[in-house]
Amino acid sequence: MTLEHGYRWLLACYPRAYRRQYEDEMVGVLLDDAAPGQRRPAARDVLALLGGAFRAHARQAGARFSADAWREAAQALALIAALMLFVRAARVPVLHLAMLAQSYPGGIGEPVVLWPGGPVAVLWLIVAVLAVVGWARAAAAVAVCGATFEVVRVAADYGQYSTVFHLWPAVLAAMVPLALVVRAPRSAGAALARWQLGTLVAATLVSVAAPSVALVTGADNATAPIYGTWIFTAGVGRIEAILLTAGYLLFALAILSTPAVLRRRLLALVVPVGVTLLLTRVGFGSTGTFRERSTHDGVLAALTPTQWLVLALVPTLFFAVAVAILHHQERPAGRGA
Amino acid sequence: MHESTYLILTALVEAPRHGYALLDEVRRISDGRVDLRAGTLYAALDRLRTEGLVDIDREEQVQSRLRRYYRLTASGAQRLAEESARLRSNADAASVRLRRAGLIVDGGAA
Repeated sequence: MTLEHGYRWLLACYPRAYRRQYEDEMVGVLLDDAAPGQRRPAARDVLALLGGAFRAHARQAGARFSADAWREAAQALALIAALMLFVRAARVPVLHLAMLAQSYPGGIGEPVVLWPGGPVAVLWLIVAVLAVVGWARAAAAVAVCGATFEVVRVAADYGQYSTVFHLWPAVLAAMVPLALVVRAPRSAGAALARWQLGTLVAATLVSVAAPSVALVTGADNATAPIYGTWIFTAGVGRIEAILLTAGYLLFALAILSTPAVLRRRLLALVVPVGVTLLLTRVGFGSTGTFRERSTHDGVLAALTPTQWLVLALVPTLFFAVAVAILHHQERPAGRGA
Repeated sequence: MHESTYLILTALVEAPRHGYALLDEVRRISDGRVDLRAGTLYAALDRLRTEGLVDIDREEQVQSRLRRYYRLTASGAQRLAEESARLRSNADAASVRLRRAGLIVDGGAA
C-alpha cells in the first residue's frame, strides 16, 4: 500500500459529501507534509484524520437533525406519545368510574386505582392539549413530571420484581419532554391536518373507553379472556381487545397518513420504543428466546450486565440505522451523499 | 476562539493561502509551538467556511494535485480583530497584576 492509498483509506471514514469537497486537496496536503521516504501515515495524522472524520459526521448529523422537518416531527411525536400515555394511564381509572356509575359498589375495588393513575393521566392530557396549541415549553415542563413518574414506576417494578416488562412507556415518556423542547416552526396542531387530529382524538377515546364499553354493554361476559404478551391482549375480553386494536389502528392511521417527510421521521422516532418493546416482551421474558432470563422459584433473576447493555444499545443502534436509511432515501437525485 | 482557529485566521490576513502553506504559516507564527495536522486544519476550515469567516479564493492544479487557496472574509477579519482585542486586554490585565505583585519585572519572571 502506498502512502497515498493509506491516506485515502483513512479519508474513507469521512462523510461522502465531505470527501467530495476536500479529499483530493487533503491528500495533496498530507503528501506535501510527509517526511521524505515516509511510507505509512504518521500516527498524529491518523489520529487527526479519525478525529476530523468523527467531527464531520457529528456536524452533518447535527445539521440534518436541526432541519425543520425533524423539528416538526418531534412536536408531532410529542403529541401522539402524550395521547398514548394518557390512554395507558386513564384506562383503569375510567373503568373504575364507569363501574361506580353502573352502581358497582367500590368500583374495581382497588383504592389505588385513581391514585396515582388519575393525576398522571391528567398530566399527559394537559401535555397533549398544550402541544396542540403550540405551548411547547409549558408542555415540556408538565411532561417532565409525567416522564419522571413513568421512570420511577418502571424502576420500582424492577426493584420489586426484576421486571422490565413496562419499560417501553418509560422510554416513550422520556422522549416527550425532549421532543417538546425542540423549537419548531409550527406546533403539532398546525403540522397535522384537522382530520388527522380528529383521528387521534377518536383513537384516544376508543382506546381509553374500551374496557368501560365492554363492561357497560356486557359484551365480554360471554367471551373468554385473551392472554398474551402484547399490550392489548393481557387477559382482556375479546370485545375489549377488538376495541383496543381499533384504537391502535386509528393511531397508526393518523401517523401513516401524514406527508412522507413527516411520516418517515415519526416512524424513525418510534423505532427505539418499538425495539424496547420487542426486547422486553419477547427477548428478555422468562420464556424469551433472544436472551433468556433464569428464574428462581418463579421470580425473575436480575438482568445481567450484557442484557442491560443490549437494552441500552440495540434501540439506539436501530434508531441510527432508521435515520441513516431515511436520509439515504431522501438524498437528492444525482448526488452521491 | 480556539488557538488553532485564531492562528489559521491570522495566517490568512496577508494573502490567500493553500492548505500546506497554511500548515507552514501556522507553525511559523507560533514559533513551531502549534503543529497542525491536515485532519485538524480541514475540520477547522470547513467550520470557518460554514461560519462565513473564510472562503475559497481560487483553485489550481499543481503536479496533477488540486490546490485550493483560502482567503479571509470581511467577517473573518472583524472576528479576528475582536478576538485580538480581547486577548490583548486579558494579557494586559495579567501583566499589570503580575508586575504589581512583583512576580515579573519588565515582562520576565522575577
